[in-house]
Amino acid sequence: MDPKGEISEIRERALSEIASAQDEEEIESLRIAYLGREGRLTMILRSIGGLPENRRAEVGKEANAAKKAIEDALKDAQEALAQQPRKPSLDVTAPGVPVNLGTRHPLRLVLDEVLDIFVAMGYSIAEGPEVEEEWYNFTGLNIPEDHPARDMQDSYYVGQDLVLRSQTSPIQLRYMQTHAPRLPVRIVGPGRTYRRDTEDPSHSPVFHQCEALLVDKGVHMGNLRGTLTEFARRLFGDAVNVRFRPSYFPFTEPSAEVDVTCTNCWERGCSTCGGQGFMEILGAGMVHPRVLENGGYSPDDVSGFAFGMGIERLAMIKFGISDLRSLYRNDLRFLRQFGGRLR
Amino acid sequence: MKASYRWIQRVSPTDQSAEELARTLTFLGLNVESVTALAEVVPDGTVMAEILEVEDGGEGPPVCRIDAGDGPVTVVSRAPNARPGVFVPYVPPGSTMPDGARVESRDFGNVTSAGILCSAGELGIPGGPTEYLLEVPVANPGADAVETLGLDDWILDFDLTPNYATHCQSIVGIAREANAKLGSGLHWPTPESVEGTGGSSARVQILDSDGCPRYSAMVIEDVVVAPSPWWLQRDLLASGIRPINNIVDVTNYVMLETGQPLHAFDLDLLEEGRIEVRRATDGERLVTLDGRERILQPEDLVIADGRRPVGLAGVMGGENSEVHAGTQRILLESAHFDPVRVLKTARRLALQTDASIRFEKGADPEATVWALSRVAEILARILEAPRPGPVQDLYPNPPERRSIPFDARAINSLLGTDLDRDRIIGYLGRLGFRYREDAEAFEVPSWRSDVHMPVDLSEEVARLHGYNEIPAALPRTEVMGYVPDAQSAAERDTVEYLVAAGFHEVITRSWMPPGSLEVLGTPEDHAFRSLLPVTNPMRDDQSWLRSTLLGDILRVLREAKGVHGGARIFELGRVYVPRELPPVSLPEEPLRLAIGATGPVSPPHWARSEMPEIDYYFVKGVLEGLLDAIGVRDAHCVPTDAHFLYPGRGAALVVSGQVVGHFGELHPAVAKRSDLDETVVIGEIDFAGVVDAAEAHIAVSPAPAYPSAGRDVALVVDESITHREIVDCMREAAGPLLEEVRLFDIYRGRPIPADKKSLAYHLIYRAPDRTLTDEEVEDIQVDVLQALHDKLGAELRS
Repeated sequence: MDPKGEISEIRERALSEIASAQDEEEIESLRIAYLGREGRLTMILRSIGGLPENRRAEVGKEANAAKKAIEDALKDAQEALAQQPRKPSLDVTAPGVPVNLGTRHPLRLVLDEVLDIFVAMGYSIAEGPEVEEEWYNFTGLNIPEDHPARDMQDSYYVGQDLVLRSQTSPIQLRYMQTHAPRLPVRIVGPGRTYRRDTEDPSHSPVFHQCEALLVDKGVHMGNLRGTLTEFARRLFGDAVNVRFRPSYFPFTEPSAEVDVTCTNCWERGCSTCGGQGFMEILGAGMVHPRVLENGGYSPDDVSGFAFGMGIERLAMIKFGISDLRSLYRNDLRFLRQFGGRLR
Repeated sequence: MKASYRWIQRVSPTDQSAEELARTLTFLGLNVESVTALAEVVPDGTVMAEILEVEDGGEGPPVCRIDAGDGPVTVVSRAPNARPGVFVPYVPPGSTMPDGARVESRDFGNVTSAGILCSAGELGIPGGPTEYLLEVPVANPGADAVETLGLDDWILDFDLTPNYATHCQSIVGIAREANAKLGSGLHWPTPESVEGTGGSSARVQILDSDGCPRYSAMVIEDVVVAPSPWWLQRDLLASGIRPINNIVDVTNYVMLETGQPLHAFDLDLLEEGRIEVRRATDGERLVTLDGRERILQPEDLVIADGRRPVGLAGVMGGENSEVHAGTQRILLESAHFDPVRVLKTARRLALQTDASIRFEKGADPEATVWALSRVAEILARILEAPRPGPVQDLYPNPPERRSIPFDARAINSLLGTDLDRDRIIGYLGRLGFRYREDAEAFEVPSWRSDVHMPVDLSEEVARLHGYNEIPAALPRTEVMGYVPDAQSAAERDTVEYLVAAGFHEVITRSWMPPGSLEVLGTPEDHAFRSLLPVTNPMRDDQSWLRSTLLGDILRVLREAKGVHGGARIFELGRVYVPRELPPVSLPEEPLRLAIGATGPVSPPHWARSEMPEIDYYFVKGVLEGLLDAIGVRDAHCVPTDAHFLYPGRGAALVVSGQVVGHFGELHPAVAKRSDLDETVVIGEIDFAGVVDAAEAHIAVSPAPAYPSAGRDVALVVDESITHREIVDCMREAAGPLLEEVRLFDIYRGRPIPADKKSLAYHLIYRAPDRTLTDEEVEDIQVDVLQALHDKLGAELRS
């Protein structure tokens, strides 16, 4: 047979076999079959020496070209194979390996959000003792000696003259006293508070409040309305309205209960808001002149507003919790729902 | 307090519905809790009927022939007041009574009774008398009973704050507010004088004028005690008060109307026929109208006759002088008592009455004679021929009228409004504040004991103008952003870190859970036992403030038993540490971090083999990570004998040389007592101690420029030798080129002898300025091994 024809045939065949090779092993055996020591093309190359001289160059050239082509094809096939996905498919719907995440307590979530809002509005955070002197909890806040709140019925006492603070308002007095006469006074004061209430779905003898106080020259009730509207919208969304009802607190005058649009019914009235369309969220007012004086400021020169909110109540509204006690039971199955943060 | 909508409407004729009026009043500050219809359940078809004749029914009940508009009907009735000529409500057959019973024609022997004649109670009016028929003297037979009897009314139930309780616990007070807002007019009752038409004078003496600044009284003779006419009963019922008899009802009526509490004594039951107002003597006794014997104290103010107390001033009358069916002469009391005295007595005796809730908020001292005259006027109208005596009015020291300077600018600048003077004067004028132009001041009306300062006027203006009419505007003040102090910042970082580490935050109450010191096995002299006592706990479990968070941590862990995936919890909260006992000065309130963990280190997953359980080293890693996260670098653990930890399996955490807390596996005895597993890991750390050690500065060196060289070494040491000792020894021997030491295995068991253990370390050497040669590293390594051998008796494991 004509060696040139044979070379061409070997080359065609090798290339076609390589093209249909399925895996590394097959490629390797093809390499051996054609280019190995006993390979078909190797044999041809070896036999070139036996050819007439005038054909050697011609056939040798042909054979080397074939060898190169086969080598290239093997290399390409190998590379192509290497790029081809070989691992089995996954069931992508099977559960991932869980990252173990804990949760903030719902009261922390709400309190952090409230604090963040006020900090963003320029307020500083101030704290105070929970076991408080009577003066800071009552007298200094314009709560007179014979006021029912001072009664042993309503407030917890520690020893003779110390009281478990019944509101976070003592923080106002303590802060003003250390800050006076500098202006403005602008603080939020979070913390635990205590009242002798029987535990029920809306009362707890230990609860959390957050207090806010702004004292400066020319602060007025319109500012209180503006601030609380801003606060309520940041907390409950831009669509809520805020409304004030006159009320009474010894440490503010005028005093108001502040309601915000019920986010369950949007003012249509529902069972959540008792048909009111609004939910009471906090108590507020203009700081009573005597409280300003007790804080070391002259009510003739400065004015201020203050408000205080119950964190449990806000949490109940935000999360739709109907029984306050569940916040203190700390059932892990309950707590595990509070992943993430509020903003 | 409850008040009738129609009655308010009569005094201030507003066209607002009951619901609308309730809302108006609420936004004025008079909080209306509820509005309920008076005649919600009156049977359909109830009409007025005239009783034409009453026949003896023989064995059966008396038989009435009535005219209910459609000719004569026969109805039986046992009511004592069923008599010809009166008009009573009649429910025809086919209607349903409030109790659900269906009205039908019924046979009584030889008569058939077609329907029912009703008492007020039977009509379903709350508190309505049931022992006699509701009767009126004039009506149209067949006319709608609801309309005729004034039952289309609503009861407004107020929950008044103390500042409005002074002057709004009356129909007149409420109507005054409604008029001030709505301009609906005010028909103030101005009784015609009926005094001195024959009755004798009251004999009264005030012996304690601090307790009783004013006492007005009047004797009325020839009274006949009987049920009140319906119009009077109706007003009382619609205001939530049960009719009793005409005398008592009129005093209640006028109290409701004017806010002035009144009391009627049976004059013939008063010893010596006279009254004195004095302090009680210690231990003096009085049986009050509710039938209970009260033991009195000198702080109590009593109304006494010539011999004994006959009433608790401002609170409740005495049984011994009560008006009864046979009473013929009464002494009417209309007095003013000191609010605090009334409050104290009412509180001490837990006896809150319609009178006491008015006096203790501060009634109007100027109202006594007015109210007395009003009682006399009404009694003159409803009794046959009463003979009122003259008004006795003891008022030794009438107070001066308070005046408050008027400054419209101050009011506007506090409210953020721009109201002109006339408008403000108008607002206040409608509430009874008289503007005195000469003095630039407002005279405070006598009923406003709550108003003393200019700011009180601002509040009045604000609520009349409408709180929600005040334009809202954010304050314009200098803003200096807040930078949290180290502790608050660390608090937030800690919560965030622990949440990321898989811990759930718990918030528990501040009390020490009862028995938790015993559960924890706390020694007698331990700091946990220095507890702050609560003087007036409501329950035993509120007796002490907590000295540790661990009691609650154990409780939450116990309650989480069986929850899938185990539990890892923490609380960041205060404990309360007295400085002395009994406590005089403020206690310390240090913030503590407590943690508790049990269960697998990670939730189980289908593609992972079984998860290891949480142990000491897991929690230690969490705490080390926390310290790292908040910048504490100088920290290590040393063995501890903390009583609640498993001996030898817990540590004291030392930060900057101070022990700041303890953590480790739960002591088996504590575990047993708290119904938990020994594998639970708990701990409590003084948070301030940790934060104080945090470094705000972060020391930085460039990333290494030269390669490191690693060497592994397995050592065999005595059981007593600690990892920390080995590392310290290595570092001391190696010097600064030893960059890191990593423990990668601890092995016990064959072929290591029983009292020994093997620790395998990976040591990493590096120089900052060159590549270390093998020889250099080898030299150091030899020194290290030599030092380990010499100091700790460590052998290389072969």
